[in-house]
Amino acid sequence: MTEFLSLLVTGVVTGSIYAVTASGLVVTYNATGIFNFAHGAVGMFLAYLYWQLWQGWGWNPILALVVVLLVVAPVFALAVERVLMRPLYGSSLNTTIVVTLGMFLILYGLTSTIWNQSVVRNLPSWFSSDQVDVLNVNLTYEQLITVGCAVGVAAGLWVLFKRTRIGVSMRAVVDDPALASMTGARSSRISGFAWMIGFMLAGLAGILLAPGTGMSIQILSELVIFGYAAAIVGRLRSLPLTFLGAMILGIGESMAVGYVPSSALNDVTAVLPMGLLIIALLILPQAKLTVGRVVRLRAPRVPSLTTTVVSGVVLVAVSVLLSSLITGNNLYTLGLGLSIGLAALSLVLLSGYGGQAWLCQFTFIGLGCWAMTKVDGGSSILGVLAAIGLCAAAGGILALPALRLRGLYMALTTLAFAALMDSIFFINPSVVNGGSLTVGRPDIFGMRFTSDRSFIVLIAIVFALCLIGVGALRRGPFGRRLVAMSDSQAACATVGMNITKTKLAVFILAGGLAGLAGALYGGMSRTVSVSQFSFVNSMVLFVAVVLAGVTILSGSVQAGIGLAFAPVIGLHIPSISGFTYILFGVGIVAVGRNPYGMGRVYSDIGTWWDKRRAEARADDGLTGNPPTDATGSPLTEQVPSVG
Amino acid sequence: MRLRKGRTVTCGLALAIGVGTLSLGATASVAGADTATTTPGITATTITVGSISDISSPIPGLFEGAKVGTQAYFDYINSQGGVNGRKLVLDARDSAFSSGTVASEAQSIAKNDFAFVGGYSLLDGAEQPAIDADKVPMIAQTLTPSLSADPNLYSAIPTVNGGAGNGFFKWFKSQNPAAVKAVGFIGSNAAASAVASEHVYRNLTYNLGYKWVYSRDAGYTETTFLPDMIKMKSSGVKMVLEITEGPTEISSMAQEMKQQGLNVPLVTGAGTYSKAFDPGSAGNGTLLYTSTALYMGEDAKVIPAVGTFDKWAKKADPQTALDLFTLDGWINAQLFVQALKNAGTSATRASLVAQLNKVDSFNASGLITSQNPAQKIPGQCWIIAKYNNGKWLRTSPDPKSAFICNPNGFYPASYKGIPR
Repeated sequence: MTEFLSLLVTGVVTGSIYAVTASGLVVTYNATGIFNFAHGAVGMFLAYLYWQLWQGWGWNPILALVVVLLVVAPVFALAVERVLMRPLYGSSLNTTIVVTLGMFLILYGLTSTIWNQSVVRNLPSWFSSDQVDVLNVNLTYEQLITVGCAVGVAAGLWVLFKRTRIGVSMRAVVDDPALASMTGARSSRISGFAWMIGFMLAGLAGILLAPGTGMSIQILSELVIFGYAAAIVGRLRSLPLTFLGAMILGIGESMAVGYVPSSALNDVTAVLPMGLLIIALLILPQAKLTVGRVVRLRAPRVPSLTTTVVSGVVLVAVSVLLSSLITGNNLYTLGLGLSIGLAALSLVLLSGYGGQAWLCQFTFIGLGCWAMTKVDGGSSILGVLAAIGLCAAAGGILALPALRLRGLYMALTTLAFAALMDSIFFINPSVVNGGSLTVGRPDIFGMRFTSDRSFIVLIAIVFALCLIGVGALRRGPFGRRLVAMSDSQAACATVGMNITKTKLAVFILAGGLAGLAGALYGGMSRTVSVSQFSFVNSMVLFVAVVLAGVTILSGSVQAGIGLAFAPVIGLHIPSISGFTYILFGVGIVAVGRNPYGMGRVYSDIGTWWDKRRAEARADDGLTGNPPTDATGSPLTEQVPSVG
Repeated sequence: MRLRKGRTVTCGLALAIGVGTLSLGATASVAGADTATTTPGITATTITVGSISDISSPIPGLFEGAKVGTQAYFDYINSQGGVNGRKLVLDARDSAFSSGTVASEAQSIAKNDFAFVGGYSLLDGAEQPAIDADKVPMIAQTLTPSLSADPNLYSAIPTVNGGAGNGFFKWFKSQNPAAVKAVGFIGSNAAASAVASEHVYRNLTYNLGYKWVYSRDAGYTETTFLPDMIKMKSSGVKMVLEITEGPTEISSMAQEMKQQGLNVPLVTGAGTYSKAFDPGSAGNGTLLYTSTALYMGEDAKVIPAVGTFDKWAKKADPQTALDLFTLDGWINAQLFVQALKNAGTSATRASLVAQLNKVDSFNASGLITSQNPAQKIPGQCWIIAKYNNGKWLRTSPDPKSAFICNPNGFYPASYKGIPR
């Protein structure tokens, strides 16, 4: 009994940390409808700032704490809300996801650039060795403060939402923004206030965590992901349930250490946070899980067969040309870019057409690589088929929760799946010995593709065929069903469409496509480290595809090439060590709110050019009518049509 | 003549595939051409060597120390006139954490530079094809098992896959026979290499009669080990072994052991010798066994090479953490220079390899225990240091510049069937 109580107390300490992190997420989501994927990165950035003020510049620790949490965090939050978030209110889910992911990348890159990561930084404890006995467990003052902070945050937020005018207004805005505005509630002020609280709680969590985890940008920014489970238990709405979820998680971890048999302990502790997240997502009532909204967008013109085939031919021709002109790292990077582009194409199918937010594509690439190595010596076409088959099956399994989940919850499920695979599959020495895979290249009709150029051409041909295939799917009945499902599942069900079948099919197809990409990615790389399949890379890939245009086929090519070449460009700018992260972060923040990504930018440039030409013709006395599209609308509303 | 749409499509696709197929043939015929007639990387005044390290990604600055340590040693040698009249130049490349980049940079280094010296990358396996194709000597610490076993690879501290020295554990058992009967272990599941390493130590200690009564692998985002301490206490743990976790995590463990009154020896490996290990007085008494000198300065008075290393590393990068990777860069650069000097003024890759094959005893002027890079036999010596109020102090052996040695103490990990 004594041990049980001791484990209970330690579980409460851990749960308190989860509670502080998760509550910030919930407050922001409650008032704005935006799930802030950058919550951990905000906490990390503020923890570094705190270190700088206290340890770097010798400020008094209390003064530094006050400045960071009560001055910098609120000002930072207001700036972010005004510049980045306010334009997002009412945007599509994918847009809100990628813009907050973009902020994550910017903060990650900025912090690593400002604070050289090769320098060891420790954030000391406030109190050296003072401790208190609580139910046979000695707790330090820091741990008591953490628990106190969790209690204080819980009480403070309760008072805020129940007893203050602005808190009640926040709840009113969430319930019915239009009605709330008629009663005089200023939604911009309310959302700004919510972001301030969110940032302050993120900073508090980061500062509480840093002495234990060390000043690591990776750990501090990713740790909050394990608090998602708590937030989901609270359905992203209820703070009491969120705190309950945090305590379930903390105490569950503690009790697992105490009572799970040693033979299963590693697996249980590795699975627990993400496992709880998946369970929470699956058992909560479906009605409550329906988040997001239908945003009326003009769909991009569907590319014709001619267009996709010409595009495919151009892709192959350009790849052949480039591969004969470039050498060394650029040549390899081209091959990697094309194979990543193929994985990105599966996201176009799934997210762009099907409306499903997927954050685990690099997990599928990893599975594809792994399957390739396991079949027929690792250099067989059978390995490629195994990669496609395994990933298609995995896609089918992931489709099962998707049958009842959508939007943000589906995104979180796939993220949890990716994190689980990182910690229980790829890390397992019996699965991947030594942490790296040596992947062969398929032997096709006696062609072994030993030279990199020949393999790049093979990847380009496969990619082109897949582009044409996905384009054909989009034009056919299946593509129309996908888009309809993405627009409104309820409407689809009303007209008798089999949503289950459609979802299952698109997940299997996308999984298989990503598996094929994995086999080719592995073959191009020859040696891959399992750390390349990290869920963070999947998040970056998702950002890259949306940035390039998730609803257009060419977006996948741009995303793959961009993602592969950005680090190479970064090598030439060593003074900005977080270049790749900053580049994609800034890019997505700039254009991510447009569902056509960079495609829209190209379209705008084309429109501007057409207008210039029309004006020039008018000046020359020719017809002055601006160009219009097929419906007669001005071309300024045109969206990209190229696949 | 304008064709119908379907015809256009078919022709276009055939053209693309045809162009692609032609390209396959063309590139296949180009591959394999070797026009090198002189030794790459050597001029009348300089010898250029290459290295590849994970610097900008996945975590910016991750293995920058490897580059700094190599550069520092070259700066030191160049300040003394270089090697056989030539200055040493380091052509350091960044992997960008892309195996494709590693492979292509390795090809570039193989074509243009004399050798690979001192890099450190999680993706180092991607260097192997280029190294093997051009038979380029590589002098560095490696992670990938096949590269570690490569005939072109020489390491200042050789790695034998799935093995570790057991000398320290023999000694510890002789000093603490009761403690080894109840070992507590918290490992890391942050990296596959850490998990594999745990298996090695589990087997090694099991074979010596150690009994693990508690073990768990912790995720890299775990914030506290308090439940582990409570469980270890109730399980009667008499020593805590920490080899695969990072210094920050072990620092937290030391504090939480003290906090919960788990007053048993905390035994750690070389990774704990880091500025990130900062548990305050709670860490007092923590034991460290390592096959390196205390290179962050403690041994400077008795091992002059420590002072030289510290001085030149800080010159190369004033912000350097003086970590294990910095030392790795330095000692491998020293191994390279030793062989290069012996290769004479007309050194070639072959003559360098011939000289490396003669280095069957190497201790980097006392920075590390004696190793056998030529035969790939790791050292079987070590020191013991104890942590006291923020400092590591050698406790054994005496004199302080020496190491404790256990001949034939290496344990090959072919042993299987140990119950977890």
